[in-house]
Amino acid sequence: MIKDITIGQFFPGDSILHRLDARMKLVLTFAVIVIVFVCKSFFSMGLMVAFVLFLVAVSRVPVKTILKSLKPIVFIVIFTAVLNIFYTTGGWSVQIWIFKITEKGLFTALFMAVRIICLIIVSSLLTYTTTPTRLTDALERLLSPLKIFKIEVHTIAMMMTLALRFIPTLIEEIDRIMSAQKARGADWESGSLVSRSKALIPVLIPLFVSSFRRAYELAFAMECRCYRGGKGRTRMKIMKLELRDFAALLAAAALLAGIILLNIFFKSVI
Amino acid sequence: MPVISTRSLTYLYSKGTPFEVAAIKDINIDIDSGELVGIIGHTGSGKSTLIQHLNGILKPEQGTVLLEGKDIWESKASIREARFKVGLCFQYPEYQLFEETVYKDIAFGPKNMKLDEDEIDRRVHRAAEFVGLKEEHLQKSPFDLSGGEKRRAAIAGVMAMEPKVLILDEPTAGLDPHGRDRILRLIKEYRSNTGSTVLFVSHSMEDIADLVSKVLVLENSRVAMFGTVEEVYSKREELLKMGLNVPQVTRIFAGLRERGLHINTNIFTVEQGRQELLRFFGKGADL
Repeated sequence: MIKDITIGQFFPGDSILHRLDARMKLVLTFAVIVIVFVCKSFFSMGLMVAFVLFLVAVSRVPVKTILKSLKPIVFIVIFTAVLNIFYTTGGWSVQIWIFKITEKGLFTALFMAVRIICLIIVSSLLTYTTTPTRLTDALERLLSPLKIFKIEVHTIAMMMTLALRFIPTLIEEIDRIMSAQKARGADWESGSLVSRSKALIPVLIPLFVSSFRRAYELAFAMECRCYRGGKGRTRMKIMKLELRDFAALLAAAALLAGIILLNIFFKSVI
Repeated sequence: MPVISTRSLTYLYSKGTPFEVAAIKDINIDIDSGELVGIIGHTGSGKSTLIQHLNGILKPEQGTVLLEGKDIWESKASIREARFKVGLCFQYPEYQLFEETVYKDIAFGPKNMKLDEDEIDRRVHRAAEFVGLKEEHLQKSPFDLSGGEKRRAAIAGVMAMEPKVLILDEPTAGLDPHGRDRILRLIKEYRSNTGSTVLFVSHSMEDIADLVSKVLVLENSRVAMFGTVEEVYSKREELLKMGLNVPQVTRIFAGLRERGLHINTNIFTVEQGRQELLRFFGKGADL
């Protein structure tokens, strides 16, 4: 159950998506997320979905793994869709008992659901194909202009790297603690909501204690290796944009152009 | 009848991803009641995975675990029963302490067994006494104890459930020699006092030779050897090939034999070595 969490999970591979420059990938992911909201007709949404499917195919990440990242948001998708069905009106309508479903409501709900799903797939593709270290490295580079405002970009990036780095460790730790308490008869699967949340205390307290212990140990280890922030630090891996990165940029631009054209030439539904 | 058996037990980690590995493969063992079994093997040989199957923390991919002849995965009730009948103490168990007082922490297991207050109280005191924690320790916060005391408090937490089978995963890891001896003595006493079956994972060939009646050697997720100390430790060559060793004292006697002394090489503990030397040099020798 706890192992289903996929945030920041890297899926090793050697596809073109894996090899793209992390900075470009980060920027383009944001771009695609914005473009998802530009889609206003069936045709442009269709193009978007096709593009996302194309990305999945190119990444060579198994469809099963992608679906796993969608599992936690199923509820949100359904919730948003249902809400949209009832709160948007227009077009033809059907009356079912006390609910009135309208054409516009139905389509808005459908679009919203597809949008959220596209969004999650694209952003999980980013984490599946980029190691956390590269991702934060890229973020640091992209945010480095903020240094002018005395924002310690390096420190923030380092904190993010460490946080991401410790997600799997903490998941493992939770797993271990849960197993240990299970061996002493702890039970999370039965009882009322209150008793179930109370049953989490034996997991949370040891987890906090060990997180603090790890944090201290890590801080000591970093100081022992003379870490004193970003000043004067050089990099082992220097990022360089290559031809394929510009090709990816072009592809995203083409996508945007295509979607705007489809929006204009085919009547929009919503 | 064996108290615990496994039948073609197999478990895969990270199933369906590129990281998929078999942690244990086709394990068939029978452990008789009252036995003290030492489990050895390299890091990653599947020791921890195996013992987590014995009380149903992990569900086997294939095969079954039989507790007193019954499949532990038969029903929800049977799995819960297995949790209490087979007490599993994880590596570094002190990291699972969480209660305000040591008393409450030791009582966590018995409380989950839904025992009445008097019985819980009796068990907590018994377990605490057993591991050498005094009355004053019981009212302290577990986080105020020393490392060795924490470890013993955590072990007491498992012992208080009074399981038929007690399993300990490297109970001496990270302790100083004094703390180590104390835990090993405790295991031995626990078994002779309660007559329960005890399994313990260790990296130390010496500890195992000193303590156990049977040795289980795991190698590459499979059972490589399972037999008495004598049976296993006499296969010195095979153990060395696996990157495991025999106790220092065994190596000394093997070395003496190679140098032409007609001496018994089936020596696994220092005490056995002393006896053998006495025999070899004749009764008059002063050792």
